[in-house]
Order: sequence, then C-alpha cells, then structure tokens
Amino acid sequence: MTQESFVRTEMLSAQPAPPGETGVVKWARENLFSNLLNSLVSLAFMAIIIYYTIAFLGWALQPSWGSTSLTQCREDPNILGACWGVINDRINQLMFGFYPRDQQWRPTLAFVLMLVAIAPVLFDRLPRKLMFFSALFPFLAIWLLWGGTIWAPLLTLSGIAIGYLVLRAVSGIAGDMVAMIVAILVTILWWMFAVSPLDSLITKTIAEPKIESTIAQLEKDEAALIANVAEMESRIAALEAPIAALREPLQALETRVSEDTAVVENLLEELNADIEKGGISIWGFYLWSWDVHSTLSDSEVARLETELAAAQAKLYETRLLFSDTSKALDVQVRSLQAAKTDVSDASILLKESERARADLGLLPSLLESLQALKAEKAAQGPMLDTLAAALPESARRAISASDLPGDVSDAVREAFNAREDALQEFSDLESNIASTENRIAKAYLLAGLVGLEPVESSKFGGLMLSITIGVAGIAFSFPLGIILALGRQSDMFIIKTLSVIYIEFIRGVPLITLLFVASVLLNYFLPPGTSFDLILRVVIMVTLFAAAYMAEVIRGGLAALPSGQYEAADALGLDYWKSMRLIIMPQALKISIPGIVGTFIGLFKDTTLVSIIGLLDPVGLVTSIRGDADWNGIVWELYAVIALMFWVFTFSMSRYSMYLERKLKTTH
Amino acid sequence: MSQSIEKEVDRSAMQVSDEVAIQINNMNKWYGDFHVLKDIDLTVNRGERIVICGPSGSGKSTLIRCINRLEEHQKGDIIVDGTELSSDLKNIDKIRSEVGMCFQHFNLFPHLTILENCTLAPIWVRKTPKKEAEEIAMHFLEKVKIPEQALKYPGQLSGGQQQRVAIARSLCMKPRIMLFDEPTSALDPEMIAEVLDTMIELAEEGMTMLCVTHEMGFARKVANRVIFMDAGQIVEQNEPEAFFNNPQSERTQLFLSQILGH
Repeated sequence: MTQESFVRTEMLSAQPAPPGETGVVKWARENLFSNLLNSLVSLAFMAIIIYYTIAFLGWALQPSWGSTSLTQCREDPNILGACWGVINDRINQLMFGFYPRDQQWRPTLAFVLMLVAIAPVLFDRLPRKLMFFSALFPFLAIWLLWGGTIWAPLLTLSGIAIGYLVLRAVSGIAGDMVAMIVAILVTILWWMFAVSPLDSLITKTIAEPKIESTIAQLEKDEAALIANVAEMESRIAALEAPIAALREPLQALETRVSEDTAVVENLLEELNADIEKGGISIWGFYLWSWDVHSTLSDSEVARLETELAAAQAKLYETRLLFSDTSKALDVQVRSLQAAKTDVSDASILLKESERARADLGLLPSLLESLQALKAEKAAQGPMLDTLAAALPESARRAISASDLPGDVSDAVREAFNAREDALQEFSDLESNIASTENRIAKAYLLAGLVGLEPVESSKFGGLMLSITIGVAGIAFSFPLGIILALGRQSDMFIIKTLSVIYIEFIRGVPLITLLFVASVLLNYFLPPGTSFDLILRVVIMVTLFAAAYMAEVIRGGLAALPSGQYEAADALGLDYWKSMRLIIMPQALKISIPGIVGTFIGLFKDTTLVSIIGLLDPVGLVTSIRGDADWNGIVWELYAVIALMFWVFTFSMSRYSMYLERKLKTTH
Repeated sequence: MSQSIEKEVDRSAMQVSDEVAIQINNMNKWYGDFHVLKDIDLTVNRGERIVICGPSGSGKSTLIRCINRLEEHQKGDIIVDGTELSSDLKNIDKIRSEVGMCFQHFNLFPHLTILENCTLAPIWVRKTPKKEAEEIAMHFLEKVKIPEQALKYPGQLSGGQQQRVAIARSLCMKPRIMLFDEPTSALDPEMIAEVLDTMIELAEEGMTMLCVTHEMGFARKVANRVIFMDAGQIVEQNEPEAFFNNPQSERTQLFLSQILGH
C-alpha cells in the first residue's frame, strides 16, 4: 500500500555512476557509435582520414633533405616524393629575404624582443612594469630592422617625453582637452622640425674629431687586407698543382672502371644467355617469377659464376679507389673555391673601405656641396614659378612638348622647353642631394658613431617581412578600429557620417586595389621628390583596411551590450570617455574576441598579397626560387612549408583567443 | 503582490526638513510625438521618502530617470540640490554624482568584482585613493550584509544579493538622494524581503528617497508620501494612511482595488 504522507529525515548522499557510464567507452559510444548510421559515418571518415594521412606521409617522409637540385631528387631512386632539399637550401631566404646574412641577428633579436614586449599585453599576471618596455619596443624594432645611428630613434622618443611634460605643465593651467591638443601639437612639431637638425648636430659633434683617426685606422686595415689577399693568392697557386696531379690518375681509374664493368657485364650476359623467365603479374606488379630452362651444363655455370664473383670483386675495388681519389680531388677543389671566394670578398671589402675612406676625407667638401645643392634647390623653386607664369594657361597644362596646342608661337614653345629643362634639373638636384646625404651618413657611421648598418627596405623579405607588416598592422588597426566603432555609434552627425563613409568605402574595396594605390598612386598625390618607404606605405594601407573590419566587429560587441550598462555608468557620474574605457569597451571587446582575432588572422594572411606589388614575402619568393635552374618546377614543398609557417602563427592566435575567452568568463 | 515586512520600522531618525532637495516645475517630456509626461510639478524636501506607483506606461520610471538626466525633458525645469538640469555636461555630471540610482535589472558591471563595482566611481569620479575607496566599499557591503562576496563576480550572486550590491555601489558615492526604479520587480519573493530590509535601513538613516515600486507594504510603513501616476500625470498624492484608506480619485481606487484585491 502507498504511504500517503511522507517527511524526509535525512538527505541522500551521492553515489558513483554505474560502470560503462564514464570514461573512454562511454565517450566512444556516445560520440562515435550512437547508432548504425553514425557508426557507418564514423568508420567511413576514419578510413578516409587514415588513407590520406598515409598518402601524405608517404609523400612527405623522403630522405631528400640533402639534395641540391630538383634533378638530383628526380634521378635518385630512393626519393619517390617530396624534394625537401629546396627548403634546406633556401630556408634562410624564406625567413629573411635578402637581408644581409651578417645582419640577420637583428630581425631575430627584434622578434625575440617582440615576444617579450607583447607578453605583458597578453598575460595580465606578468608585472605591469614590463609595459614600459612594450611602449619602447616599436622604436627599438624600427631601429633594429632598418639600422642607422641611434640618435634618430632616441630623439623621436624624446618627443614623447616632451609631449608628456607639456601635458603636465599645460593641464595645470588649462583644461585636459586643451592640454592634450597642445601636447600632441608640440610632439608633432618636435618630430617635424627638431629631430633631423638635432640628429645631424649630434652626429657632427661626435664624429668630426674622430675623422682623422678613423682614416688612419682604415688605411691600416686596408694594408692588412692587401697583405692577406697576397698571402691567399699564393695559397691558391699552391693548391692548383696537387689538383692537376690528381686529375691524371683519376682519369686512368675511370677507364679501368669502365673496363672492369665491361668484363662483369660480359660474364653476366653469358650466364643469362639461355635462361628464359616466366611469371605472373597483376596490374603491372610481378608477384612470382621463376627460371624456365637453361642450356648450360652445371659445371659451366659453376665456372662462370666463380669468374663473375672474381670480376665483381675487382670492379668493386677499382670503384672504391676511384671514389677515394675523386673525393680527395673534391676536397682540394673545394678549398680552392673557398680561397677564391675569400679573395673576392676581401677585394670587395677593400673597395668599400677605400670608397668610404675617400668619402671621409672628402667629408668637409661633401658637406659643402650638400649646402650648395640645397641652396640651389631653394633658388630653383621661385625660378620654376616664374617660368610657369610666363607660359599661357593652355601650355601650362601640357605634359610634353608634343601635347602643346598646334597654334602656339615659337616663343611659347621655347619657354615650355626651358621649363621642362628646369624641371629635369630640379629632379636631378633632388636625387643628387639624396645620394650625397647617404654618403655623408655612411661616412659618419664609419667614424665611430653608435649605430647599425642601414638596411634598405628592398632587402626585406620572407617571413620577417610578413611579421613586420602583420604586427604593425595589428598594433595600429586595433586602436583605430575602436575609435571608428565609437565614431559610428556617436551622436555627433559629422563624426558619425565620416566614420560610416570611411568604413563602407574601405570594406567595399579589395585590399589588392589599396595595395596598388600604395605602390603606384600614392606617389602622384605627394609633392614631387618626397617618396616614403614602400613598406611603410603598405603598412598604412593594411592598417586602414583592417581597421574598417575591426570597427564593424567591435560595433557588434557594442550593440550586444544591454543599455543598462550605459545607464549605470552614466548614473554613477562617469563621463563619456571614462565609461567607454572602464565599463563599455572591456565588455564589448570581450564579446568581440572571436571576431577581432578572426580579423587579425585575416590581416596576417593578407600580408601575402604584397607579393603582387613586388615585395618579397614568402609567397613572392617562391617565384624567384623557382626561377633558379636548380629548383625550376618545384611547387608543393615550398607552399607546404609557407603554409606551415603561417599556420604556426594563426593557430597560436586562435588558441590565445580561446584562453582569453575562458579567462574572462565571470559567471559560473 | 505586496510583501509582508516582518521588521519593525524605527521612525525616530526619519525627519523631513524644510530644505528643498528636488524641485520640478511644469515639466513635460515627449518621445517623438508621444507625450509621456504632462505638466509635472513636484517638490521633494530633504529627508522625504516618496513612493511613486501607477499602472505600467504611466510615466513613473521616466519621471525619476529625468531627475538624473537618463532621459532628457523638453519643457519646464528640474532643479536638484540647487543645480538646474540643462544640457551643460558639467552640471549633469555633478548631479549624477550626488544622486544614486538603483535599477530594476541591477545593471552591475559583470566584468568587475563586487568590490571593483563599488570602488570604480569613487576612484574615477571622486578621485578617492584606492585603499580608502576599498574601505568605504567594504563598509557599505557590510551594511547590506554581503561583505563575504566582495571578491566574487556579479554573475555568481543571486538576484537579491545583486540588488543589494547595486544599492551599496550607489551608496559608495555618498549620495544625498537615492532613486529606486522598481528595485524588486525582477526578484523572487524570498529575495524581495532582503532588498526591502536594506531600503528600510536606508530610510531609517534619513536618506531622501524616491521609489518607483509596487510594494504597498513598503509604501505604508516607510513612505511619508505616496504619488499615484496615470497617463503621464500625477493623479493623486497623499500620506500613505489617507492614500490607502481613503483614495480620492476614481482611477486610484480602481488601481488600489486591483493591486490589493488578491
């Protein structure tokens, strides 16, 4: 009978789950084999995965790391798949492009320091003081990568310090907003007008007293180099005799090898002459084979076999001798080649040093001619204006003399030509100034200034270039994206409209076109003569592009926040910027983490598009590597390694975003 | 609907002074074409505890949200603590830091701990040193009886606890006026009592309070004035005894019969 009223007096305690309801078996049953159809699907996909893994490993696991050309791989019977020699041969290029080998420690160091610099940004358990280094890092990285004297980056940095001091001083007198604007203005003015003259002033004061002693030192070094070269040349001469001596016996051995081989082959032929073979094959594979019959007597076969064994042994010995001799020759030839390279390196060094020494000696006159060139340029400006003013309106717009309208007088034509000549002269002057400045800078660097050898942007390449563009793009597009997202949410009409136009325009244009604008069109928009670095231009374009996407992702996060959060922040008396910074952004960014990281990953992968405008990122390098006769026709190996490089970075980013989402979860 | 309050209310410190805390003159508000608040006149003296009730859509929430400018009014003036509410941002921020507000859905900041929720405004608005702000916050968290939750996140607390944290968060700014916008409407019956107890304690200390609520028991015991609103207008206002026992307007009678009838 049932009990009608019931009062529990003690609570039941927890019991272990029944067997088979926990562990691997349960997991497999639930997730792989829950019913017949699912089991079939699981098995089918497992089979596909195993099949392709085996196929891929069969291709990839080849003993081809040592090969030196694609032909060598194809001819080697042991290599049936990937020819990894190309990676071994070109890994340095894939990493650094054409960055000078002896300077490659600089990008490597910059990369390690970058890891240090982003660590406190990524992990808030690290001491906050490390952020100071993170703020310094961009300046340090630019200096490490591009080189030059240390004074330029230090002076640039000092601009920020000065801006800060101004901010402190002015905010005491005027409001925060005014102080901020004044501080930014002062910093920009400092960068525009003070950095460059101060840089050359410091350079002059430090370098000039040292010029004499540097020249003397250079002369001494050159003398040592010359002595060195003479010594090496005598060594080369000494090496050539033994090589010649070895060549003759080697040739004799070669003929002996071919003679011995012929003997062996004759014997084999005799032995096999009357033997016929039979067998079974399926789809071209021999499964079994056997001898059908033989006409030779047993004793004859036995004699032939002994003879064959003897001949083979002899051939083996001759071959051994041959290979030993050829190895010895190889060693000699190699050291000869090395010595020759050394000599040519030394003479290049010598030439450079001589040129630099000459420039150092000429430094005063170089500086003078720079002054003169600059004065000339300044004088040319108004002259150009007068020449242009002398032309009638219709002629002024013509690009070349052939564009002039047919009815112009000879006088106008002459004036036009005069102006063309003046323009040509002007641009010549500009390039002259640039090269003189470069020579002076190099001479100063020689004279014991603290600095790194300058490396031009055109030498940048490989993964290093991708990381440079990617990291700079990420670092700049994130704050810009936040500002644009806030702008689009703003109540102020103009700000909102501008943000919307910007975002919609950039999102509607392919990145490729923006990169072409960066590489070609931007120069037309700038005043003639000013050309700034291609890498910098690409970074700007990539940043502008990613910022538009970032803004939309962050706007999504902002829209997902309940309006109560804005109201609570307002009700507590927080102003707009404080409530954005302390309340709204932390939550909106948290919501948008997957989207933000997706944009970052997209940006990093998009850096490979720069290969189209001639920058040598890893993808761009593939073309140049395949242009080499040794590696003509190789494809998969290079792209596989590049894919792996990018995957390492993007996968780390996505893992970090998952870690961050877990860490920021504040509910149960 | 109404919740029984077991606690005896100590009325000794509840004194209404002559000083005016909030003065609203002929205030009107529209949402687009819709006239939400019509000719509101209201004077609140320091130490008054006012309960505003009325059917939904009557404009009671909008009224108290206008007092700290979460909503903008289009006509008339609102003067809080002698400062007139206009579009001047400085005045608005000044008033907001003097007026505390509790919302129906608490609106705690989910990415900050309870303690950080409470210290944020004192540190960033009042420029209180962090250590001092934390001491103040702990004092008020003890007052609302949840100091042990200080290092948890809002998502780990029950609704009643969250609303008490929200009250503590407002109190940390040492406000002179507290606004409550239906503070118990989103809570389970068990939790309503704990929040009301906290509000009663606050009233006993003499805080000027404006509460939009349907807790008629609270109104009866704590309020010195009950305001009934309908269709954007103040229909009736009176002392609680008179309001509940002898409502004048027909609309009020209907409302009270519906809310107290079952």
